[in-house]
Amino acid sequence: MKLLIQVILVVLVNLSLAKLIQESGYSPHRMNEREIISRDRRISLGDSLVWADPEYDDRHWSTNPYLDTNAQFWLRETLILDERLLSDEPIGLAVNLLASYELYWDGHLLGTNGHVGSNKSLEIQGQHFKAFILPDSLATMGAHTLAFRSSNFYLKNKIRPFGTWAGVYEDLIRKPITFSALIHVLGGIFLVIGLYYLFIFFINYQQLAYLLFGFLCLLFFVLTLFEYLKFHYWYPYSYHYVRLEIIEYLTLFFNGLLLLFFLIRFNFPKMGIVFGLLVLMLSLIKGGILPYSGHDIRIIIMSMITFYASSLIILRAYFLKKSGSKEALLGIIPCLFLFVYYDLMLFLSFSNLVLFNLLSFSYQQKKMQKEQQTALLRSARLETELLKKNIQPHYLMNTLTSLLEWVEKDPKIGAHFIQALADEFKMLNRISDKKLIPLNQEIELCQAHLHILSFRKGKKYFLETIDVPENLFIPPALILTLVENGITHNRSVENKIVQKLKIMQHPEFIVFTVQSLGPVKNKINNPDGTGFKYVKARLEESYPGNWEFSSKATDYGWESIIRIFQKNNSND
Amino acid sequence: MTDRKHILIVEDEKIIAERIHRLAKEILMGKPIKFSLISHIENAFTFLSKHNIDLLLLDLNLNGEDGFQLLQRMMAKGFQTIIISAHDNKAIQAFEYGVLDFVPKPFTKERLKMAFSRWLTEDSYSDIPTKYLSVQVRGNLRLVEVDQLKFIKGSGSYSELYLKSGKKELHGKSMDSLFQILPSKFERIHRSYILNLDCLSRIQVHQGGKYEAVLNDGSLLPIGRSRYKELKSRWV
Repeated sequence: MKLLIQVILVVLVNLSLAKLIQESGYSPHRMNEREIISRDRRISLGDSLVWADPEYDDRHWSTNPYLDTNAQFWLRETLILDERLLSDEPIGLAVNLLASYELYWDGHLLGTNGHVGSNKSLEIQGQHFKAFILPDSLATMGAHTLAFRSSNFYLKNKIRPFGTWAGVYEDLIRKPITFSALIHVLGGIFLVIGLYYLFIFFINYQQLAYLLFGFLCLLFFVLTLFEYLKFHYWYPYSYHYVRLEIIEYLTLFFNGLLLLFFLIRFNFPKMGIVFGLLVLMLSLIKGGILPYSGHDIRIIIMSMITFYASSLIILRAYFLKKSGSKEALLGIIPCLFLFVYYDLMLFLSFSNLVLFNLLSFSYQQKKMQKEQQTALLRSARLETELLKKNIQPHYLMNTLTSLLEWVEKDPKIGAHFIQALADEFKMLNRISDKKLIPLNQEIELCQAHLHILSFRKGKKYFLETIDVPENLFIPPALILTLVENGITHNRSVENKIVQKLKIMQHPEFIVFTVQSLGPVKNKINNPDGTGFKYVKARLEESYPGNWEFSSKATDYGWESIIRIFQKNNSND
Repeated sequence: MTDRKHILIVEDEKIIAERIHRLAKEILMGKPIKFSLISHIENAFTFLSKHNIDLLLLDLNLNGEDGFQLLQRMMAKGFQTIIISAHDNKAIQAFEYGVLDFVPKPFTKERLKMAFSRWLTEDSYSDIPTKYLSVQVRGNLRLVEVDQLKFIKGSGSYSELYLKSGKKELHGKSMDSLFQILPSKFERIHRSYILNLDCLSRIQVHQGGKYEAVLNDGSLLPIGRSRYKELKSRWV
C-alpha cells in the first residue's frame, strides 16, 4: 500500500512538473509556434557598409560563423516573415549574439547593441541578448535580409552567434522572464529546504547526511540562479563564458556532494576511495579530458556519471534493506530516464530527487524517533526491573520471613542480617538509574546478595573473581543475574555453591564468563525467562548489535558467557 | 487423632523451614507428629511416592522450580496441603486446586495456628471454593471440575466421585478430607454420602423416619436421620 502511494506520487510529481513547464509556454530549446528563426547565416571578417545592402551577393562568404578569433566582422542572415506573425501586435526581433553590433534590416539600421569598434578601446560592449521592435513599414510578409556589423573584442577569440528570431515583440521579452520567474519560484523551495536542513543539522540532529542534504539544496538553488540568469539579466556579452564556467564548477561541486551524500547516507563501504575516484573522474571531465566536449556535453556527462553511480549506491542500500533506500530509489529512477533531455530535465530530476529524499528522511526520522522513544521506555523499564529484583515477593518475603525467625530466635543475628540487607539496598539504590557501572561495584553487589542468600538458605555461596581489570564498566545487575541463574541451575555440594567470574580482554571484544560449579539439577533452559530478558535488554541498550549471550549446562556445572564487541569492529 | 500423623515440609530456605518446623511443633504440642523436611522438589516427589503423609506444607518457589507441579501431581493423594508462599497472588489458583489453606509469607505463629486448626477440625472453611479435584485415571492425572460432581460416596480411606456425566472416578482423599475443601453447596447427607445440592430434586419422607434424596436424574440416596434437619434447613 505504501509502495503504491509512493509510485503514484512519483508519477504525479513528474507529470505536474512537466505540465507546468509546458504551460509556462516557453522552452529555451523549443521554438514557439509564433516565432520564426533566421536562416542562411554567412560571415565575413572586415568592415564595409555595402554589406548592409540586401542586394549584395554574399554567396562567397563563409557559412560557418563560429570562428575562434577577435575581429570586426559582418553577419548576414535571411528571415522569412509569414502569416503566423500577422496581428495587431508589434513584431520584434530577438538576437542572441556575443558581440557588439549594428543591426540592419533590409539595409535600414534597426538598432545597435553597444558600439562597434576596430579594437577593444574603441568598442563599447553590448549585451548578450537584445530585442528590437520592427516598424510596421518594414515588417512586410516575405523574405528579409538581416546584416550585423559587429565586433567582439571583449570576448577572447570567440565569434558566437547563437540565434536570431522574429516574434511578437512583447512575447519575446515577457515569456523568458515568466519562465525564469517560475523556475526561480521552484528554486526558492530548494533555498528554504536547504536552510531547514542546515538548521536541523546545527540545532537538532548532528547527522552529516542532513548537512550534506542542506548544502545540496542550497547549491542547487544557486545553480538554478546562474542557469536561468540569462533570461532576465541581459549581461554584457563577455560575461557569458564566465557564467558558463561558474555553472560548470557548481555542477561539479553539486555532483560531488550528491555522491558523497548517498555514500554517507547509505554507509557505503570504503566510501573514501569510491568518493575520491568518482570525484577524480568528474574533475577530469570538467578539465576537458574528452575531445570536442563543449560546456553542455561536459555538464551532461558529469551529471550522468553522478546519477548512475548514485543509482548503484542506492540499489545496494535497497538490497540491504536500509531504511529510506526505497524512497531514494523511487526518486532517482525517473532521473535516469529524464536525462534524455538536458537542462530543464536536469532541474526536474533534481526536484524528484529532493522530494523523495524528503520523504525518505521523514521515514527515517519517524524510525529514529520511535527508536529513541523505545530506548527511553526500555531504560525506564530496565530500571524498574532492577529495583524489582529486590522487592519481588520471592526475594523480599522470604527475606522478611527469615528475619522474623531471627527476631524471635536470635535477635543478634537478626540485627546483623538487617545491616546486610540495608547494605544491599543502598548499593542497589546507587546503581539503579545508571546504564553502566564500574565492574567492581557490580561484584560488590553480587557479594552482598550472596551474603544474604547464604544467611537465608544456610548454605555458603561464593563468587570468585579472576582477572578483574580496573576501569571496566558494565550494565548494572548483569553479573548478578547470571550469578542468580547459576544458583537456580546448580545443586549445592557439601552445602556450598562456588561460582567463578572470569574476564578475558581481547582487542576486539571482552568476554565475561560466569561458571557455577557443581551438578546441574535442571538442564532445561528458559531463554525467555525474566532474568535472560533483562540481560539481553541491558546488553542491547548499551551495546546495540554488538553482543552475544549464551547460558547452558557444561560438564562441570552451569556456564553463562557474555561477549561484547568493541564498537569500531562492528559490522556495518 | 490418636494415631501418629506425618507432616512433610517442602521449603528450600533453611531458616524458613526451621521456622515452620519450630512453630508447627509448638502449635501441635503434645500430639504425636512426625516431621520430614525436604528442600528440593525432586526429592519431594520421590519421598511422596514412597511414604504416606497426612499434611504437606509446601513452598511454591523452590530454587526457581514451581511448587505447583507437586501440587497438581499429588493432589489425588490422600493428604491435605497447606501452601506457605511469598507469592500471595497465587492463592486463588491454589484454592482452586483444593488446598486447605494458603499462608502468605512472612507469617506469624498465629497465622500458622489458624491453618493447622483448619486441618484439625472437620468443618469446611474454604473462602475460595475448590474448582478442581485431580483424579488418577489409569495412571494419568485428570482434573475433574467440582461442578461436574453429582455426589461422593465414601469408601474407606478413598472416595468414589459420581459425576453428572454418569461416570465414576476414585479419589485418594477420604470423604472427610474432601468435605473440608469442597464448596458449601456440598452437603453431608449421610455417613457415606456427600451431595451436590444443585442435583437435589426433592426429599422423600418414608414411614418410620426414613428419608431419601431424589436427584434430578431420578436416582435415590439415603439421608441420615441426624442430617435431615440440617439438610432441610439448607435446601430451601
